[in-house]
This record gives sequence, C-alpha cells and structure tokens, in this order.
Amino acid sequence: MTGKFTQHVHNLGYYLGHSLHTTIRRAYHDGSTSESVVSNATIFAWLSKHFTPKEAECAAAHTAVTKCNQICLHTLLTAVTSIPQQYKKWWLNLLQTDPLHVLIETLLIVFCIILVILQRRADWRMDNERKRSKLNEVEVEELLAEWKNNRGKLGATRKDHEEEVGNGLIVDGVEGSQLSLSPDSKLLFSDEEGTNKRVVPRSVINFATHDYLSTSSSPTLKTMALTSLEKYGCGSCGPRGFYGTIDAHLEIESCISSFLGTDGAILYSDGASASTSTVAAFAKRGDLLVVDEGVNEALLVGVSLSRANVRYFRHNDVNDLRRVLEKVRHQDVALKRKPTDQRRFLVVEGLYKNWGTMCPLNEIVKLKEEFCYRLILDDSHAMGTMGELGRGSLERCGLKPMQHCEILTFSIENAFGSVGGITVGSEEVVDHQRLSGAGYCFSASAPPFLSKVCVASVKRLEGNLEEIHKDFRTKLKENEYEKLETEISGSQLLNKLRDNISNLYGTLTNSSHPYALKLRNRLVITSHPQSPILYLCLSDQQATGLTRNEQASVLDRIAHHCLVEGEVAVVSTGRHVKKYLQVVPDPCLRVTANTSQTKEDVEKLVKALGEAVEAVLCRNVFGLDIIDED
Amino acid sequence: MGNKHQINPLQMELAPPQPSSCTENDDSASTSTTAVSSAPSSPKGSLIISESPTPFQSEESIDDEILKASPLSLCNSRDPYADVRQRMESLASQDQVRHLHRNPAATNHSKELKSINPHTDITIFAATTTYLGYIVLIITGHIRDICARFFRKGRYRANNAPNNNNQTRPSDDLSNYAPLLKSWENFYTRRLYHRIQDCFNRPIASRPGAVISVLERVSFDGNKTMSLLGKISDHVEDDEGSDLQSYKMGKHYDESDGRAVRTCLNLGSYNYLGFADDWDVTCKSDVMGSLSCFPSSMGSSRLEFGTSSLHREVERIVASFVGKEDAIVLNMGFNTNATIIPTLTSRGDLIVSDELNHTSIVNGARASGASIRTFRHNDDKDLEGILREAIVVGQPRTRRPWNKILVIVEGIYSMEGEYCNLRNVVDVCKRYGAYVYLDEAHSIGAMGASGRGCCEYTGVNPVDVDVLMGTFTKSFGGMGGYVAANKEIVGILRKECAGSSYHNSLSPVVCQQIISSFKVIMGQDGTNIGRDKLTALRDNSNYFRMRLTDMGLHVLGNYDSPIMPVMLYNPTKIAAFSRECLKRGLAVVVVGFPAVPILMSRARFCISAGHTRDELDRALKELDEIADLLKLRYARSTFG
Repeated sequence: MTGKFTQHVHNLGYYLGHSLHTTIRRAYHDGSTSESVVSNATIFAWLSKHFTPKEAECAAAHTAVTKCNQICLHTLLTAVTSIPQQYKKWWLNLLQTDPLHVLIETLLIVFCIILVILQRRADWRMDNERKRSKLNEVEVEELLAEWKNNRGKLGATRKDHEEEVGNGLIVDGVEGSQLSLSPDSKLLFSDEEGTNKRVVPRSVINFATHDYLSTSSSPTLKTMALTSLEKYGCGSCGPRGFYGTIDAHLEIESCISSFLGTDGAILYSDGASASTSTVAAFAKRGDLLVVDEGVNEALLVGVSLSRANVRYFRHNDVNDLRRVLEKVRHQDVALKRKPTDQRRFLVVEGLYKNWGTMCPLNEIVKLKEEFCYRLILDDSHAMGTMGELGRGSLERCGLKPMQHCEILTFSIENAFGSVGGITVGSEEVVDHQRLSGAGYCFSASAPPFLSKVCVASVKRLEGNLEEIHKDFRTKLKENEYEKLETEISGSQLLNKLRDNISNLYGTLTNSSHPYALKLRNRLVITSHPQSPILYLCLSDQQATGLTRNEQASVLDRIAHHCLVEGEVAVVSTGRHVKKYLQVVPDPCLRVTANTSQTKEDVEKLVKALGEAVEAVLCRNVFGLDIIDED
Repeated sequence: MGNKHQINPLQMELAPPQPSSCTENDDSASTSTTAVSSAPSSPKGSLIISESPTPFQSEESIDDEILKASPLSLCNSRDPYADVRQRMESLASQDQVRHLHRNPAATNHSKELKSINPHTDITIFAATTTYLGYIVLIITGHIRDICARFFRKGRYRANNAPNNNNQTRPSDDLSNYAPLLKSWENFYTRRLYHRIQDCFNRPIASRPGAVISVLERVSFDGNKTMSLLGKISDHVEDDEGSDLQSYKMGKHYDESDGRAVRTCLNLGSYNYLGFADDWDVTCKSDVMGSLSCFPSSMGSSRLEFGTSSLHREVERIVASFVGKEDAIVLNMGFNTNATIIPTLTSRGDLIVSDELNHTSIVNGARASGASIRTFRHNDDKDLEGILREAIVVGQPRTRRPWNKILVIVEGIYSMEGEYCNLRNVVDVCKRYGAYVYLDEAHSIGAMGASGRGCCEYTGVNPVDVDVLMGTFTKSFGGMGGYVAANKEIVGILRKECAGSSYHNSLSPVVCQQIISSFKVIMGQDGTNIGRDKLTALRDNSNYFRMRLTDMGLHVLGNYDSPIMPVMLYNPTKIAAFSRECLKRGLAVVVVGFPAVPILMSRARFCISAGHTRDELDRALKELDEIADLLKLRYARSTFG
C-alpha cells in the first residue's frame, strides 16, 4: 500500500519537475541575463539535485509534496511576472528589425477590436428593434380592424368585365332543330332602340347546342331514359367505390370499350371533370407535359393541378412542337438526364372546342413516337362526329386508341346526349384512375338512367338500334314502337351530319348567295370546314380599332339580332371566362351543326346573319367610322 | 373439366351464407331490452346540462327543437322507438351541448358520451398491431416483387413483357419510355389494395334503397381483377353439385336478370332521406313527365343555351330553402367546389380550410392560386390564431395585406360523422372579417328540424354564412351541386365560373327530381312524407349510434348525424369486416388508407330514413356477432 503511494508521489514529483524544467530552460535560453532566470536556474539545479528518483523514494511523501508545491508556485510566479518584460523586449526588438510587420499587426488588432464592438452594437440595436417592432395588443387590434374595413369583396367583379348580366335565356324544350324559349328569358339587350321586338321569340332554330347527332329528339333515347328511370330511379346516391356502381355503369363502360376497341373504359359523372382528373391522375410533380396552347379550360386545370413541368407549343403548329421537343432533348443531353426519368405527355384536343380547328394527329403521333412521349387526347367534340364510323378524330386520321394514343378522354355530353365523361385506354390506364382519378373516386356516380341513355346512343351510332328496340317491344304501344323503327342510325346519321356541315359551310361561303354576300369582308370563318363547330370572327377590317370588349359587344349584338329578328340561336363567345386559358381566342360567333337541321334552316341562318350583320355593323355603334363597302 | 375448374372460385369466394341463426327476432328484442336496462339512467344527462359552466344560451331552444323534431313523442302509439326514446333524446341533447361548447367537463362527467378524438385516442395496442400489420403487408409485397423480378414471372409482370395478343405498342417499350406507373407509386395498389379489392366498388343491380341487390363477383387471378359472376348456370349445372344447391339455399341469395345477386341491407349509400325507396310514390310521375318536353341532356353550358326553366326553378327553390337571395346549380357536386372556389378567390387571397375538408375543396383551392392554410379539425381556437397571424403578417414575401380571406368548412364531415362547430366558426370569422364558405354536401336535407342543414341545426343565421354550397346527390337522390349566396355573388358566378360558362349543365330530368324531392321535404306536396322522413332519419341514426356505442364499438361523430364511422384500425379487419357483413347480408362501407390516415381504417354506416327499426335491429345483431368475432370493442377494452 505504502509502496504504491510513494510510487505515485514519485511520479507526480517527476512530472512537475519535468514541466518546470522545460519552462525554466526555455526562459533561460530566451533571456540569459535576467535575474529571475538565474534564480530559476539555481532552483533547477536544486531540484535536479534533490529529486532524483532515488532521493524521492527516500523522502517522506508529505514533505516532498509541500516542497514541490512551494517551489512550483514560486517558479510560476516569477515566470509569469517576467512575461511583460520579455514581451516588451521582444516587441522593441521586432520594432527595430521589422517595423512594417508591427504596423500591419497593430492595424489588424485594432480592426478586430472595432469589429467586435460594432457587432455588439448592431446586435443590441436589432434587439431593440425587435422589441419595438413586436406589436402590442392594441396595435394588433388596430391592424385587425383596419384589415377588416379594407378587405376585398367576395367575388369582386373582374375589371374588364362590363356590368351587363350574362345571357339569361331559358329553354323550355328541345324538339328537332327547334329550341323553344321561355317567355321569362332575359334578353341581353332588352332596351335597345334598334330592336323593336322586345318579346322573346317562342321558338328558334338551334344552331347553338352541342347536340350534333340530335339525340335530344331521338325517340329511342327518350324511351330508354324512361324505362331505365323506372328501373333505377334517379340518383345513384353514392360514389362508385361505395355501392354507387350500378350495373348500368358497367354496361356503358364495356359498351364504350368495345365501341373503340380498348381494354377498358372509366366513366366520370361530368365531362369536364373527366379530362381534368385524367390529366392530374397521370402527370405528377417532376413529369413533363407538352401542351397545345389552344386546349380548353378543363384540360388546363388538370395540367395546373398535376404540378408537372409544362411547356406550351403554338396552337396546331407541328414545327413549333418539334422545336419544343428538341429543346427538351437538348436539355436532356446537357443535364445528362435519361428520357426514361420522367413521364412525358403531349396534351392535345382532337377537335378544339374553342377554335373549331382539327388537330394534325398524324404528324403529332409521328413526333410523339420519335421523341417517346405519350399522348393525352381530349376528343370531346370529335367523338361521334368525326371519322367514318363516328369513332372520333383518331379514326379520321386512321389511328387507333391504345396503339397511337395512350389516354383518350372525351365527354359524352355532346354527340352522345348524356351527361358525363369517359376515359379509355389500356387496362393499366383505366385501373389506375379508379383509385387516383379525383373526379371518379370522390364524386357520386352518374345517374344510372344517363348511362343507359349513353348505351342507347352508342348503339344508335353503331346502327344496332334493333338490339335495344326489342326490349321495348312489350312496353310500348304499336304506333310508338313504329316511331322508334323509323329513326335513322349508324352511317346514315353520320352522313346526314356531314352533309349538314358541308351545306352549312357551302351556304355561308357561297358568293352568289344574296345574304352570304353581306357577310363577306365582315365575318370570316376560322374553323375547319369539316368541323361541326363553326366559328365566325370579325374580319381584320372590321376588327381594327376595336378593343376585345368592343368586338365582343358587336358580336353579342349580332347574336342578339339573330335571335330576336331571325329566330335563329347562335352563340357569341366573347364573354366566356378567360381566366384559365393559355391563349384566348378572339371573340367569335359559334354556329353548331346537327343532324336535324334542314336546308331551309340553314337558309334562315344565313339570312338572319346577313341581316344582323348589316344592322349591327353598318350602324355606327361606337361612334367609329365603319364604311360599308358594298 | 371446365366446369370443375370453375367451381373452385365459387367455393372460395362465395362461401354460402350460414343458414343457421334463425331466431333473429327474439334475439334482437332481448338485446335491445338489455341495452336499455344496462344503460345509465337519463337524469345524469340533464345534470350535465345544468352543470356546464357556460349554459347554452337557449337551453330551452334545444328542448323545443327536440320536441319539434320528434313529433312522434307526442303520439307514442306510432313511435317505433318509444321504449328508448327518452334515452336517445337525452344522449342527443347532451352531445349537442357538449359539441357546441367544446366542454371537456361535460365529457368527463358523462361516461356514455365520452367522445373519442380519433387523432389521439387510438390505443397503443391497436396502433402497434396496425403498424405491424402494414409492415408485414409491405414486406411480403416487396418479397413478392423481388421474387417476380427474379423468376421473371408474376401477376403484375405482364405489362412489362411484350403483349402477345395485341400488337406491341410503342409505349410498351420501357427502354425509351418512362413506365406509366412507377413501381413504388402503385405498390400500394398492387400489394395492399388488390388483396381486399372485393370490398370496394361492389356493383349493384337495383336502386340504392334500403335493400339492394349486390352483384356477386369472382376473381380468377387472385383479386387482381374482379369479374361479375353472371349467370350461375353458366358455371355449374343445376343438379350437379351440392355446393350450388347450398349456395342457392343461402338466406340472401337471389337472382336478377339471371345473374346471381345477394340481397343486402344497404348501410352504405347516401340515401339519407330514402328517396330511392319510395321514388315511385314521391317523384316518379314528375320526373318521368319532364322527359316529355326536355331531353336527358341540354348539350350546352349554363351561360349559353343550357338553362332550362327547370334549372331556374331549382335555383329559386334552393335559394328560398337555405335562406339566401339567389343560387346557381351546376352539374356535379365535385365540380361545383372545384370551379366555384377558383372563381371566388385568386392570387392575393387566403383560403383557410379545415384539415379534413373534401378533395373537391382541396382541388378547387389549389386551382385558385390563392394561399392555403389549414386549421385543426373543428377547432375554432386554432382558426382564430391562424386568422390573427395571417392578417397581421400579411402575404408571404410581399407582406401586402390579404385581399380577402375565405374560411371553408363542411357541414358534416363525411369520414368523421361529425358536424361543424359552425356557430363558433362563424363568430370567429365575423370578428376578423373573414368570409365563410360552408359545404353542406352531406348535411343539407339531413340535419336540422326541417332539413335545412347545418345552419338550422346549430342555430346560425344563414345570412352570416357568405356562401352556402351543397349537393343533390345525397338527400335528394339526384345529382349536381348548388351554391347559394347573395345576388351579387351569384351574378358574378354565373358569368365567371368555368362550370357555368364552359361545362355542360345539369340534366333537366335530374332538375325535376330535385324539385320534386324539395317539394316533399318542404311539405309542398300536401303530405307529411317529408316531415316523417326527417324524423325517421334522425331517430334511426340516433338509435343506431346509441346501440353501436352500447356494443362497445369505437364510434366517431355526433348524435343527430346520419353518418357513423366505427373504427377498425387493423388493415386486415377492413376486409374481414366487409366480407363478414356481406356474408350476413349487410352492405357496409369500409374505408382504408388513401381516404383516411393510415392508422384510422374504419367502417362507415350511413343511415337512411328508409330503414325500419326491424332492419336496423337485424343489422345490429349481426354486427354484435361480428364485433366478437373480429374483436372490435375498442371502446370497452384496449384489446378490442
């Protein structure tokens, strides 16, 4: 025990001695003549004499420690007190040998000190500021009250919008090409001096709704609606996932997928939701969408909801599309990104709703295959109207869904006369939407009778009406049943539509027609000659000098005149919402063709348009100098 | 051979319903009586009302309301719930007081009403087993994926390999195209959802009334796809197997157009007022009549030629029903939210939305470009804090003051069964000048003494709620949605909302359905059907909720709300519960991960006015058995 203890003491002494030894030696070497150092040296000598390992072993532990401590203290004190002197010496020495060095070092030190002080001051100021800027209760209340007084109005009117209320026309019924209007309808310009008739016409010719195949007057569809209402009632009372899937929905899905030759179809209960949800279900953050500038609002909302990267190309401009795609490819090379890293989609419409133009699908499909993009096609207005068998713009171009267009979405509200939208594609495409199509998953399903109507409508387009009629045979009276059998269907129906479209374009552009002549140089047709949607814009000559609103107003007046004087319903599109559109089309008159319009109806339209144009454009509406050339 | 091959799925998927359990009525009677006797006495409830530190300002008004809402208590002879009436009413009124005041003291006192906050009150046992369940599922899924990759064979590999049947499509070539669905993105669908796919999307072949015919489905590829069973005789010949015979003998077996269907009590559809049940009496003639002058679809948008006189009529009725100046009707409830919110708000505005709001609201808010904050579900204190801070701080980065603030809440939260704390929300919003947007998708027609929704139920003046939105899919048995507000706002919506300007209008036939059902609810058809429906809905819901709570199930939501979610927690219980119920002839909705938080899987019952007490008692008896089988009594014991 004691042996161990002494060992420790010895070690301690040894280390202390050693450290002192080094200190003193350093001091000795640095300042050789210093007195204290001399005395240190003597101590050192004493130490080394007394504290040899052997002697320490012999010494009593206690005395050794105290001795050691005393000596240590003494030595340290002398060492410390000698520092300023040494420093001063060293300093003076340095000043003599290298004054520049001293100068720089001094400046540096001063700078550091200033910096520290300033920083502290800044901190202090910030603290004060923070303390002062923290609002007290009174100020917060003041701010709250102030905001409350200055808050914006809910649904504040857009600035470029005029005060007039939108079209207040109320339809009382649809029969053939006739729309009957309710006497309660509010006309757009009811107090205009020019129009003597302030009464709403009872019945007008329908060039306004998207009912291309005249489904509204089809007796088969009506009977179908009645019989299925009787079976299913009206609503479906639930989303598809939760007992809202009724066999009628399954029927329409399989019916459409066999009509178009796809693996499957998925039914949405609203046409616009179908395209919005479809785009948003597939494109996600980090993916790339290359979108035609002219696509409709529903697709664009889907594009913005998807949060994907978006690039636009000029409307229907294949060269511009190639430019955009090549730019992406260059970026791939620059960023060393593989094309398989992101999903890429082209988003186009088959027949553009807002333009009446047709998509050059052949070129687009070529480009998409060259650059490895998938195609999302919204065929809402071409489905049922384009193509030899009414299978939409893909058929028109000799293409096939799934093979050339991965995702095809369309609304069944136009040619099919139902309500809702459908997306078709491969099994993968369809099944994925059943969980991630927001409008499918989170919305109640379509009323079953509307799905049945769509089934009947597809059969009508296919020319298989007998298939449906045989179910009605027992339910209908003989004369009613006969009425069903006289209904035209299939290719007859489509030919009728095509004839009507070409007749409509022919008459409007016929230079020998007395009324069509009045339209020349005033209104120009901007849509595709085979499109069932026909757009008439003001010619450049007429439009120059007019703002967008004024143009819209002129066209509103023309449409109004057509309705009141000519008893023809056309739509003026200038007042439609522009908020979501990438490129806003010029204000237009929209004329839609359908199968129940006759030649006389078209004559009436042209007459009404001619008269309206004359009445509106040749009168000096805005105090502008509009010269009639004819 | 072929036949034999096809029998297997039959045996697997369609285990014949047990023909035993025939003493149903006696049992249910005895359970109901025991429930009553074992229940705490009702005076306890009234004690709490008087004890609550801030007495509800119109304590009498609750009683009045109860009296108004339950005219049947006056004529006990007809009241099917006469024996439990007192307890039901006291529970409902206690719950209302507690909800309106958010008074924890009341909760502590009343054992019966101990509300369970779904976000905190999951027991540790349930939480760990749920996590464990998901871990096992995920690991198994990954193992299967790895095996499929290793052996180049698997259910989901067909998509990657070139398709032999069809032509190869360019986009199938994954060396140039990114896969349409990344494997981790649809992992959940493949390995978790498909396992229990048969519990969702069940097709029915009838009206969505109180009793529905659920079409039988089978899967020939391990639940990857489901197909309809179709005609039974296609699969097996009649005299061949005893399987088929016993299957056909099953209690709930039926046929519709030759297809095998299962007759089930519908506890899933939003048919709150039961218009799908008595449609022939209430709406049929009008609705079918509307087809004589209107087509099924207008083929045009509201702004153009898509407005029929029926649309205007609906708008007029809705406006007067909810107590607003004007209303606009659009085609789809989802779309109404998704297009109206972007019209009302834009960049520079702030939307403060309840965290449990429906996807349509979320979509609409995101499409609007406004800033979005969420506040804790039904927590007006949190809302107040957010509003104060938002107004004082202003917009992010620019620090400009907000142009306007819109607070969006729902009347009844469809996954929680809880109604909105509207009075407090409106108070807070009024204090700070925020606008209130109330989505009454589930509450309109289903809550309040005369069905006028959450405003009426919570005693809030509709004038204080700036925008009232609702749908016609639920209580009215139709489709579409409305927005009711003052003339100015609706006028602007008519012009500037994409849903009115571009999207096609609601079918006039559906409009007629809405008009007819409104007339019934408002009593304008000259009958008491509407009032009876409202009473029946409230009683059925409260009775069902009371009995479920008595069973010790973990029930969410409030009394008087027709939606009652029951917590299942474990992923495996989702499928087990749904299949057990279907086997016993109950069509129930189960909800799993994407729609609710991952731990909070639940079953959801939607009660209808079309249900009778006998039907509900039968359902409750079956549920009682299932609760034992699946260990669901989480409110009674930690281990369920």
